[in-house]
Amino acid sequence: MSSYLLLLFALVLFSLLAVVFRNMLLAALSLGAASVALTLILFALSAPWAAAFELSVCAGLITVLFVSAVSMIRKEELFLKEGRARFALLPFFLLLFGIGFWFFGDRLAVALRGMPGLVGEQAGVGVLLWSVRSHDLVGQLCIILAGVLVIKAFFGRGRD
Amino acid sequence: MNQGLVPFILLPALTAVIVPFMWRKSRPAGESLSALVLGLGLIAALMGIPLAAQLGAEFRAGRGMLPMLPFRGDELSILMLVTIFIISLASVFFSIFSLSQEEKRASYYSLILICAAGMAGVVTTGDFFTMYVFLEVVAVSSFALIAFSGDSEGIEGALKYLFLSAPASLLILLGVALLFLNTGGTSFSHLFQTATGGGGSRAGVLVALGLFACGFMVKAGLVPFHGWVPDAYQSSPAPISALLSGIITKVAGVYALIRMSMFLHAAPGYASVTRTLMFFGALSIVVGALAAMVQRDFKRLLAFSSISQVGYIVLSAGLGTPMALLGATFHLFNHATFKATLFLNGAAVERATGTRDMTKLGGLGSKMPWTTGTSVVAFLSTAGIPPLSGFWSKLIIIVALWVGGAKGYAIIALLASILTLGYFLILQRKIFFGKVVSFTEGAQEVAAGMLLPVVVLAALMIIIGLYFPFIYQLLLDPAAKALL
Amino acid sequence: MMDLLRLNWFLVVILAFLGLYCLLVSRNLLRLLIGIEILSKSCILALVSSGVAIGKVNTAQTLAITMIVVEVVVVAVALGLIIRAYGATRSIDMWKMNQLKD
Repeated sequence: MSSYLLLLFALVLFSLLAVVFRNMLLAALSLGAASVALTLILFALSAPWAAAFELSVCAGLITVLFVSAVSMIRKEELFLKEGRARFALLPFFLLLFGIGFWFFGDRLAVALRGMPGLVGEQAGVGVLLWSVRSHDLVGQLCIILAGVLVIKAFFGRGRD
Repeated sequence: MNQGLVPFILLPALTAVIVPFMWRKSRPAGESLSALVLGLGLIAALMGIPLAAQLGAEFRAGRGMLPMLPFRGDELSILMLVTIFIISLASVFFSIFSLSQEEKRASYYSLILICAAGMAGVVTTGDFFTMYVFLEVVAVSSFALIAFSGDSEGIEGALKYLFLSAPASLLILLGVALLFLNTGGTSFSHLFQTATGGGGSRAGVLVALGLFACGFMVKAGLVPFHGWVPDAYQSSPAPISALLSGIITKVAGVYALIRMSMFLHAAPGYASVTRTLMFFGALSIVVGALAAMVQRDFKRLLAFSSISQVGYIVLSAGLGTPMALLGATFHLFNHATFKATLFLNGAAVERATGTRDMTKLGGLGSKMPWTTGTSVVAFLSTAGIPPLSGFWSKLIIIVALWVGGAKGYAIIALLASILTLGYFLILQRKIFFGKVVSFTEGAQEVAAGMLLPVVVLAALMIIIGLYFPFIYQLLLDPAAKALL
Repeated sequence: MMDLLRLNWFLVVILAFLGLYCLLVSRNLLRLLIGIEILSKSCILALVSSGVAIGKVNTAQTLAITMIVVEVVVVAVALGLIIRAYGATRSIDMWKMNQLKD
């Protein structure tokens, strides 16, 4: 249990660092580290397929994309001063909210729990994906196609 | 009904892939193919109307104990499909004739096709998560379409849309997760069963619905989540503005809000959600109408006018009575035709005179008769003048509000409508019927190809308006039965 | 000690707030994207923890997988758009992008 708590803490910490770091490269890498933490959390929650996808896609692919984008941008542009003064109070409220949730989240959390009498499923992930949620697959196909077309529209040949 | 997917989703998606290859051989072939496929989709949707009545009845008979069908084709979906394909076809047609040779590229038509496929996916699914997936398809393709011209204005509009739309989708997804926790599934019928029959926790479902409402309101462009709308509409190429305003915001945001309202109407405990929708709808009506009056650029004017009209739809949908839902759906279709016509005509005017600044235009009536005629029809219909189609849909909405007990909102809707009417009349008189000024001296009517879509749309407005009783029997009554 | 569901959802809420905060505050376009990514992580955790709590882990996994695929496309497109913005205006500063006001 304590290792699980450590992973959760790591997730929040790296995400926070990703928001705070001035250097965009470090921020992108920090986001990657957060993804790794999430992967381990997903493994712990007995969701190995989701964990594998998260690792390869988020921790891997997205971090690579970010780093390559950062490399295309000149150094000076990357170190902008963030205008955080206006919103300085927000993290304070977040802290308050967090503490409040910790103590009073009892009632809310019990409320959030779902129906107890559900039938647990027997099917494996593959079967589920291909039969029950086949329309999501059509959707995935469409979005990949859309992504390809968009990249082609942005960077294709025939552009100036 | 899985074969129903083919003309609406798979065929346009497949064509989106083929078009770039055909483009290399001959451009007109690629363009004609896109238009053809969209036309096929339209015909299939129109043919589906009688079929949908039968399917819808089957679905409703089994309501309450239904294993979830991922693909539903009830009457609302078919009406949305018809709207999607009409507007997409009009937009593509207009693009074929209006964009210059260098501006056109194969990816443009492919993107419109995949966007249409995505929208078809949104309205034909019975599951919130699948809806999310297809919503992202629409969003991704619209980013590229808004920024298509490559100038910094378009990119800015696309960025603003991106940074409001992506978080909105994620909020919707959080709502889906919460729904999943409380109802064991992500489909419409799960929500319906839990909302009416109990099971999950009420607070949980309420929070999930709140998240949905926020996300979909951003997508629909309601106040106060409308920040991206004026910039995105103004900076995108004209046929894309027509597509955005005419159908994308409606499919992405308003359709889901109507569906939510349909379910919640039967669930007494969740009235707070629908009341919130009504409030934001009314707010959008007023803010949109007022903001529209101070704009100089006509595209921004049309953007704020769209915000206002979408407010009518959501206000009526929030009320939830059968008559109100009928009015909302009808107004949805009507507004798609109005705004598409106005944006396309606006592009024609810009092409002919070189400016979008309304203070500089005047006396176009004599120079561009067809454009003037169709624009006048569209303006009058938006303002709600009989016997045009807009009159009927606004009337139904206002009456439904009054009868349904929301008298205050009915008065607001009526006043805003009068305000819009007054303003549009003044505007029209100046731009189209005033004195000819320097900018409009050399204006000429645009090519027939560009006029065809708007003439067809304007004719639709007139015909639907005149033959309203007949239309009511044929289309709207079955649709209303579906909404019950 | 809190039970697992409550703990997980507590994290979901924290991450969601963090992501929204990042979106509200940031000036740099890339950091706005990081905000979206953090929000996305919270959604993944939300989906899977809900699935674990009600016994439908595999359904939750399929939802999570689809969602990850969708989000990676969105991020790729967003990065493409940001690069184009940089190419057109030599800047990734959100505050400089207000040419469209009337």
